[in-house]
Amino acid sequence: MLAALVLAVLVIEKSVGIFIPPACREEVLGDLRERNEGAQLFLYDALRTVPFVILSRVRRTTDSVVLLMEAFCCYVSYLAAAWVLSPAMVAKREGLSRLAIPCVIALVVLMLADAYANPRKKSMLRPVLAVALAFAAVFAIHLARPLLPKAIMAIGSGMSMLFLLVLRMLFPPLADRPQLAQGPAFWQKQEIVAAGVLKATAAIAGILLLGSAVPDHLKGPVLGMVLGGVMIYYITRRT
Amino acid sequence: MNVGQFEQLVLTAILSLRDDAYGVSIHSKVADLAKPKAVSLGAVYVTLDRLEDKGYLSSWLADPTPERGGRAKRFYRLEALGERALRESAVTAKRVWQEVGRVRGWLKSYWLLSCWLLSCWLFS
Repeated sequence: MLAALVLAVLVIEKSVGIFIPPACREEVLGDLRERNEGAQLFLYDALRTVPFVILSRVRRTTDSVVLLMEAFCCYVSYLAAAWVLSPAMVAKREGLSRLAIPCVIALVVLMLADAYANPRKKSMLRPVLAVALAFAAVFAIHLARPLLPKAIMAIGSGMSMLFLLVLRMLFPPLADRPQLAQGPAFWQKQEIVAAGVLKATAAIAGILLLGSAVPDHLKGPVLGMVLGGVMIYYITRRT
Repeated sequence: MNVGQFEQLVLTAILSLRDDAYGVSIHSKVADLAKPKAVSLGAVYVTLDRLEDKGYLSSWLADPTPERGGRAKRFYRLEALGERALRESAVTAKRVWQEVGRVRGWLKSYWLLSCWLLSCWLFS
C-alpha cells in the first residue's frame, strides 16, 4: 500500500515535470514535493502553481522588441504573398485578419520553444530548430484546418522562415546570449537593446523624412553623405 | 525605484530569512506577512523571477536533499540594489503614514471645533 502511494507520487511528479520548463524544473518540483506528502495534494498544488511558472519563464525568455520585429516580418511576408497572388484577399478586412493567424501560431510556438529550452545545453542549431518547429506547427494546423490558400501559405511561410532565421541569428534568444563577467544585469541589457532599437528607428524615420524634402537629383549625394557621416561617427566613437 | 506591495513582502521575507531563503520558506514567510490574505506559491515564483530580472536578487542552485525527493533547492539573496529599493519603500511608507496621521489629527480637531461651536449656538 505504501509502495503504491510512493509510486503514485513519483508518477505524478514525472508527469507534472514534463510541463515545467527545464530551467526551473528542479527547484519547483522539489518545492512541491516538500510542501505536499500525498499525491492528491501534490497534484492540486501543481495545478495552481505550474501555469504561473510557465508564464514567468515565457516572460523572462521573450524579448519584446525582437518579438515585435518577428511579428512584423512574419505578417509582411504573408501580406506580400497575398498581395501578389490574391489581391482581392488583401482588399477585405477579414483577409487581413486571416493573414495574421499563421503568424500568431508561429510566434506562440517560438515563445514556448524559447521558454522550454534547456539553458544547460547550448546548441548552434537551436534558432533553426525553433523556427522549423514553429512552422511545422503552422503546417500541421493548416492540414487539419486550412488557414490560407495553399500558394499564399507556402510562399508566405517560406519568406517568414527566412526572415525569422535571420532575426534569430542577429538577436539570439535571451537565454543564449553571452553574459560577460562584468557585464550589465539582465534588465539593464533589455533597456540598452530597446533604447538602441528605438534610436535606430527614429534615425531611419528622420532620414526618410528629410530625404522626401531633398530634390531627386541630389538624393544620391545627400544619402551618401549621411551614411558616411554615421559610419565615421560610429568608428570614431569606438576608438 | 518603484517596488510594488507584494514585491516589498517578498524582499522583506528574503531579508528576514537570510541564508534560508528558498521557494517554500519564502512563501511561508510572505503568507505570514500578508495575513489574512492568501498567497499562492505561483505568485511568489513570478515575483522572485521579476525581482531577479531587475537585479534586486540573485539566486543559486544548492545541493539536492532527500526530503525533497533528491531535488535541489534554489536559494535567493538580496542584492545591494534590492536592499536600497526596500529601504526607499519603507521611507516612503513611513512618510505616507505620518501624513495620514497629520490629516487625521486635523480632521479630529475640526470635528471637535464644529461640535463646540454647535453646542454654543444651541445653548445660547
